[in-house]
Amino acid sequence: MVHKIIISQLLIFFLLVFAGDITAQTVVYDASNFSAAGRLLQPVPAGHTPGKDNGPGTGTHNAGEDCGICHTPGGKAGNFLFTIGGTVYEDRTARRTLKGAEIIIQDVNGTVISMTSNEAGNFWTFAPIASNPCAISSHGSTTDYLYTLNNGVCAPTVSPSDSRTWQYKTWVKFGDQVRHMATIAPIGGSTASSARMGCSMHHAGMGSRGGLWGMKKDTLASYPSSSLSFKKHILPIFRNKCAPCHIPGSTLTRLATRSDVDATAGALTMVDYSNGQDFTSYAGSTAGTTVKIGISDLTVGYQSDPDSSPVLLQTLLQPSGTVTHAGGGFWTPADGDYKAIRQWIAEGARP
Amino acid sequence: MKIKRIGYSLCLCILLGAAAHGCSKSDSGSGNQPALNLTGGKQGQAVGFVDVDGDGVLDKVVGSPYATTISSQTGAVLVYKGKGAAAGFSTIPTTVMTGDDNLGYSFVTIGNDFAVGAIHGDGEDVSLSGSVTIYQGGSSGQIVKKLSGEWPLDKFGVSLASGDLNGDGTQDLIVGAPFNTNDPARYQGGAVYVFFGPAYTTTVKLYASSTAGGLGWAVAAGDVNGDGTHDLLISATGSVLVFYGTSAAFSPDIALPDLVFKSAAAGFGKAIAVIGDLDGVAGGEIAIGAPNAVVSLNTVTSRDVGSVYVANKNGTSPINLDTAVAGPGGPLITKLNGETLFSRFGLSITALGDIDGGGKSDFAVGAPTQDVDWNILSGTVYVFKGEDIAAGAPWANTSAFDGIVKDQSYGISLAGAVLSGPTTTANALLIGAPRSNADTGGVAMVDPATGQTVAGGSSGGSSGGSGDCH
Repeated sequence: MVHKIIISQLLIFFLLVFAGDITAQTVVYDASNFSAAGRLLQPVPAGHTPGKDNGPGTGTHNAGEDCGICHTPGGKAGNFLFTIGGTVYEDRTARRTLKGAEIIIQDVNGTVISMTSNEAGNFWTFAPIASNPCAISSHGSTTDYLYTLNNGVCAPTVSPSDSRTWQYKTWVKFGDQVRHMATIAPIGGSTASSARMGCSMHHAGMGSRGGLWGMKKDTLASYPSSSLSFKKHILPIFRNKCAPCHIPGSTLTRLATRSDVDATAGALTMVDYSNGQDFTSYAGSTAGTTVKIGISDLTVGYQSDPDSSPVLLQTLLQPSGTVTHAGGGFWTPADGDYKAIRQWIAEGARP
Repeated sequence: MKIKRIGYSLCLCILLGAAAHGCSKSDSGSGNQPALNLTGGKQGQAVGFVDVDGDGVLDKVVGSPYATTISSQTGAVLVYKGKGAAAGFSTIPTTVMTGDDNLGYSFVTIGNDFAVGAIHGDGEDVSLSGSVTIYQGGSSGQIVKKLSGEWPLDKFGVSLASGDLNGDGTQDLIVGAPFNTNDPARYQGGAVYVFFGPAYTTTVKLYASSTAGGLGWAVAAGDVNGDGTHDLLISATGSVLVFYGTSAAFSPDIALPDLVFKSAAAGFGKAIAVIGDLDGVAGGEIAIGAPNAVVSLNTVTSRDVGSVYVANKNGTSPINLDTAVAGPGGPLITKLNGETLFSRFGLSITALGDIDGGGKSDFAVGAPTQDVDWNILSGTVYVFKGEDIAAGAPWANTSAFDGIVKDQSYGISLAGAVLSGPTTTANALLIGAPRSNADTGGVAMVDPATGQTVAGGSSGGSSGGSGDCH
């Protein structure tokens, strides 16, 4: 990322998934909908100037690297602190970076921040991000309450400039396509020294969640018109477009704010953003105590009417802008990926 | 510490449309190769030497995994014809090989043959799994065999190595696939595969387990225990596992490595090399990079400085290199730290042999994100003398080859060779700098013993359409 810019701090999980043709409207978020349930799909903010918060500089270096390693207090570019930065790709495989995507953030105070990706796919900003005084940091198995209660009111124990307290929702927009963050960031790392924000920490070609992507693009260059192979033609689509959320093991959102704790009288509210589905496998999976259904559970039996299979029906982009799938829409019936899955289901959805 | 610093820039050559400059073959071994667009192609992501054209002289091989063709195919391997020790290499590619997506991400020689990784390549029954194509040396690109990962997006081929692990006299191919998921409880835990030469049909598979995760990011081979058979070394989270080769059936168990090196240093194991003998005892010493290691520089705790551990088998496994006392007998011979904040010293390591006649094996270490003067992230490559390491003065005669253009990532890949000519021989160190010129990339080549450049050794693409080599 650009040297002479800002830094980031805060490990963030941008589980960005395709949100489809979402109705444009401005929504101001507050602490209440930063609860677990409030982390689900929200309309993308509109009415602002795209790229209005782009950071200065050329910023064509280190695409796909975690900006926060250098652009952090005490880091190599510690005088140029990003609040957020990353790289956008055409798709999750991160084979090619994407110029001209808009990255939109709306923080807990309702402030909209807009960045556009440059020729290297990079984006970054100095714009401040609002803090939630009732933030809770959680990372891995560690939970850190960053406040104490004083007569029922949150009294922050860390500075609002501590990126672990920043709260926001995020979208990636490219043309008429919008992908949103299905889960809110878990508010950075568990310790101040490791807390920082850099999308590429997880969302890059070699990141655990794959590239931060913005383009509606078929997964494979072409598909046969019949006799589709699950492993050769279908599973690549699921692993490319569904894997950020629908993976084996626990996919519970992590604590973010006091509202998560308070929502149900002290019981922790969490959302399983995979909805109990592992789409990296045909038959589903068992990982420890987490059991998930697989691709076959939502495709076998729909041979006579493949369009009604939930994997197609709920992810279809709707002309009205409505989306059934909480993770957004993925395709139209004219798209290659859709047609391939449809044909495979019609042929019996065989493994 | 006495470091001899030498700065090099990359020769900026326009390679766009390289086909028009005499490139001869595609990977199919026939026909004209498509015109390449090397802008953003990351030339130098992988580098190596092998005799591609069969003239008995080593050629220079440069991977450009993000080069594109007019058919949007991604990835290429550029081969520059070797002319012998003094004459160096052709200044333009004489052979361009294309194939699966991101071909050229990794490279390894397998005896006289060579293999190239394409991390989004396809197999016969799977797409986007990653693939590795094995080419016959001396054939100008004839394919011996193509291997692929097991599942989509496994990134099969991120790492490659070779060695004779079963003692049959032929080299075997080792392939890492860090995003493989064999067990849902270990999502993206990674895998390492061994394909036994010369047929590459028999396979050993090592998957992430409860005791070893994060497999496939780095692999290596060499004789660690001194029995004359190469051993397998693989990185795992916080450790490097060694499985001794054997002339009996080589069937390693991920839960039962013969030797384990451990460290809490960040990035421990991202680079591994068996560098040869330093202590005079049978069995090669090992260099292990931890490029993200935190190091105290002038009392300031500094991130991503990086460290390299030089170690051997002389300890009780598991060997904790954080607590071992350094000494010539091992198991920790020395620990080398990078010079500056965020230099990522140890991201690449390659053995060079005894380049200076000092009687010990020498090696090179890359610090590809080191700042050099005002050029941020230009990168530096260090050459360490084996005799200095053995004597406990590792930096005494170290040479440092600096990149001199910002954002080069100079030294992200390294390869050493002895170049032979009709009457002379010369050492060569090939240095990849894939982020030069806004990710168009390039390579440089030096004699690591003398610091002299090698004719035709540097090559790379200009992103702006300027100029000839200069």
